[in-house]
Amino acid sequence: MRIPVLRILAPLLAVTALAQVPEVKERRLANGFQVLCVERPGVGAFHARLVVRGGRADTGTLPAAAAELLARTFFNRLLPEETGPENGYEALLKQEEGAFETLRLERIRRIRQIGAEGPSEDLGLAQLHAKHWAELRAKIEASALRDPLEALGATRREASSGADEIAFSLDLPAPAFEPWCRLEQRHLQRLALFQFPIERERLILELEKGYHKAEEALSILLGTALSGHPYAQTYDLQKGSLEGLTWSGLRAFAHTLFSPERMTLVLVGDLKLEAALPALEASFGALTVAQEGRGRREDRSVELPQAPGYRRLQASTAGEPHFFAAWRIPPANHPDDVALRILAQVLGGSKGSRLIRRIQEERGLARRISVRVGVPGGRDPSLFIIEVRPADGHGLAEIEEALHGEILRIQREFFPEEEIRRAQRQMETESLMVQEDAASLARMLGRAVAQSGDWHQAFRVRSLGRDLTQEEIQGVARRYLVPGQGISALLEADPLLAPRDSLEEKLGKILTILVQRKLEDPALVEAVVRETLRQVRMLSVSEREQTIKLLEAQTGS
Amino acid sequence: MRRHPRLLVWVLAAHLGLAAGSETLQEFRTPSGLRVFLDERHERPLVRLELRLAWDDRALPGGSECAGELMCAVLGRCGAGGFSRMALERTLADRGLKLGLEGGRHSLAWSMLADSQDQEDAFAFLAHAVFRPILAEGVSSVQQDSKRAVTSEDAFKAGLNFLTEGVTTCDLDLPGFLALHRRLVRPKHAVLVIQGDLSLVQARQLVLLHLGTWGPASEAPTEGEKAPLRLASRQTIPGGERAAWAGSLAPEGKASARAAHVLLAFLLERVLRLTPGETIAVEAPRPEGDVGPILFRTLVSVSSDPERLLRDRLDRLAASGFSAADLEGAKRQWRAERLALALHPEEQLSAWAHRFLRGDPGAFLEEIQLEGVNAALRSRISPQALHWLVKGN
Repeated sequence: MRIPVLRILAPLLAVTALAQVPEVKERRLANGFQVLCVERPGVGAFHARLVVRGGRADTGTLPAAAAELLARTFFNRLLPEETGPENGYEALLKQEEGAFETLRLERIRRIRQIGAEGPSEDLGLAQLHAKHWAELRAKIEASALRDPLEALGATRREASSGADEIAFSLDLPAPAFEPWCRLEQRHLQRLALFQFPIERERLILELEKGYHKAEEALSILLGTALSGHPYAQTYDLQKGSLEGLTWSGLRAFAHTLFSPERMTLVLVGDLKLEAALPALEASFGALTVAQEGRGRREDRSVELPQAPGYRRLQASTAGEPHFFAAWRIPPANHPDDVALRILAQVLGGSKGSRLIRRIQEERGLARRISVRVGVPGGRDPSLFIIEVRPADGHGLAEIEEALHGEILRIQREFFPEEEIRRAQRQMETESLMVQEDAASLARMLGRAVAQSGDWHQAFRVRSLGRDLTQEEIQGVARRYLVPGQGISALLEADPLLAPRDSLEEKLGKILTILVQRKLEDPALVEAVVRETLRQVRMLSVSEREQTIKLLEAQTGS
Repeated sequence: MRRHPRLLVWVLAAHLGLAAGSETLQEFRTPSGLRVFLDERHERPLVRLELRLAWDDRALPGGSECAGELMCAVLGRCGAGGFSRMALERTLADRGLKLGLEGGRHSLAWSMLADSQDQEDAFAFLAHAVFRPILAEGVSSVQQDSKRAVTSEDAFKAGLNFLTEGVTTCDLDLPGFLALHRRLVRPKHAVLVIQGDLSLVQARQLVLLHLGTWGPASEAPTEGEKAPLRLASRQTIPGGERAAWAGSLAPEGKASARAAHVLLAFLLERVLRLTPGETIAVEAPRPEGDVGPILFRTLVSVSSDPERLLRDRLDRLAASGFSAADLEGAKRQWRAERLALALHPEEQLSAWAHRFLRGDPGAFLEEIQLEGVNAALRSRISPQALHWLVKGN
């Protein structure tokens, strides 16, 4: 009997494909809600990640911080009143909102009106607000320990907001699936956000204490490199804009954003999609589609905008010095995306990568180098960023020059095949390793859907099926890492406005005295002193002390 | 090419229904007594290894509060197998191997994750890291760093401070560290857990080839052994933002005592997380990991005296205690975390390694009662039991 070869080979080939990409089952419910399921029978639990396709770049007229605040308020904790009888919360929140907003506006009015007369109403308003606040806090405290998700056995709860998405994830025992679906449906339908004032207060305190400093430097870069696009404000978290957010405003925003056709639920674990469908349809499938709301980016072009030419930005910032080199690149679903990611891996993706080897290890100029693609998001044109922290004794100008040399080399010379092979293989291996853990797999799938609408994009490197050529890698380098699309940003504390230490402060004063003897223009004096101090930063402490002694002798002091 | 024959075998195995991972761990021992456990899984062509050491204070002269963290700090900066640290990191990256190291108060673990076609390299480099570290490089690097920094939050959190009572950086010399390494890195303190795409036969061969020569070192004290390391009860860092941390070390001894500590950590983490407007936070160990310190810190500086704020808050916690509902909630959470471990293979492997070495604290979960937990709370966060780090003017 002849056995058809293809009939034997077909399942083997199918399983071969499995080796590259996990088996993801997909369904879209009648209301547009999408479900992706990776079945892992026998583990007894499942990981769920709910992704809303809309993030910090989709807040419309609200500040980008609204997305972060929404993620925290909605997902950090669940009060029983947010899915059941509200027990007087709404009235209390309206009172608190009214008192807070009145107080805020009164304070602004007094600041704006110079010489304003008459008694301030601040004190009375503050007392009224404090009363409502205390009442609300006590109520939440009493409810918080009865979190219904905790009762279901939820663990590893995380909420996050990015440029393109808001996401929430958790682990649950398998038997809790149906109760969780019902609970989450009620949660999404109500969008109560009763903990808004507490979370706003917490975020404001974090900003005041500098907990988001790491994002500040990036925010300056994005604001210049992507000005005019919602991505520019992704990391711009300001206390003033947070105070201007109201509970009602955030709820209205949530109602337009949390619409089922914008949501994807990623499930990884001990579930069978076919068996889970009835519960999914009865719960998430019953969510109603929202009206067209603010901030949708669907109408924006995804063509790479005309860049205004090379820009160089120098800014005074607190904290560690940073150097950024950034170029505009197309969205994540562009055909060049894979080559760009491999280019990033070649340049800075591992210990043996080019920039780390040449700039950090061989020349000792940098303490840390990272290369990232798709900053801050991947749905629209974004940035390819090289970030460098200088090593002690080295300045940002030195880093800039070294990196410029490397970029020119990339434009002129092919990468050795070996470097490209190694980078591609590292990325393929990483793509395989990330599938092991349910949470990291769900995160990858969710991000791919949020950025491109297609979960397959998460594995595009692994499923490429061929090696990229030197010409292809150099091609993207020549197309995108060009001055016309680029911006350099040198961010460090201004030596005059924010001296790094007492030595720098003393040196600044001495230099100012000496330079003022030679130059009349105070602006020129400042410029010369500032630049000199930047150069002197590269000297060691003892060398700077010696310099001070020599200069002091010249001032006659 | 290397990949295809192995891939074809794997594909055939999957097609014939042999791909499903076995839930039964297979065990064997090397001639030197190293216990090895294998969890065969063929869904993905990956291999994960964890070699974990655990000891109690009897293993060290006079005991030590910081041995695991000290070992981790030094070994994390060592090259191995003839490679300098930099060359080692580069080689591992080039070959797609992920080597990890973690140290707790009484344990130390190396982990390795690799594509299964690189399993030979995975075992080889794991053996380099364990048996052939270039200790001089690590000790020198740590000495330089500790001269630069007074103390740091990270060092405190790791339970390690080179400026502790009676110990200075000068005491951390190579002979001293070598003696510590010889005393602790022994097969009798260790277990190897393997998970992934290889058979029992392959696992045996690789273990014997690369770890088979690992033998017990002499029991006699070696020259150059130093006085034990102790964590200072109070440290200060001048300058910077005012903040305070307090750490409660895990108890020694039986799994039941460790279980109470872990449950206490769960309770504290839960209560502090769910209290709105809370001014302190807690970092608590995972239930299946090494039972490390419970660390409290001030969340935001709401007063000019964060140390006083932290002390007052802990006093109020001790006075109020936990309720039966709190305890039931914490137990439920612990059960749920144990169940969900199968979703996170890296942590699952660590959990197994801990259980095989030190017993399973989860087995004592149901025995723990409210009175015991509240008594543990009062003793663990009393001023005498806590180690403090205060920062700022």
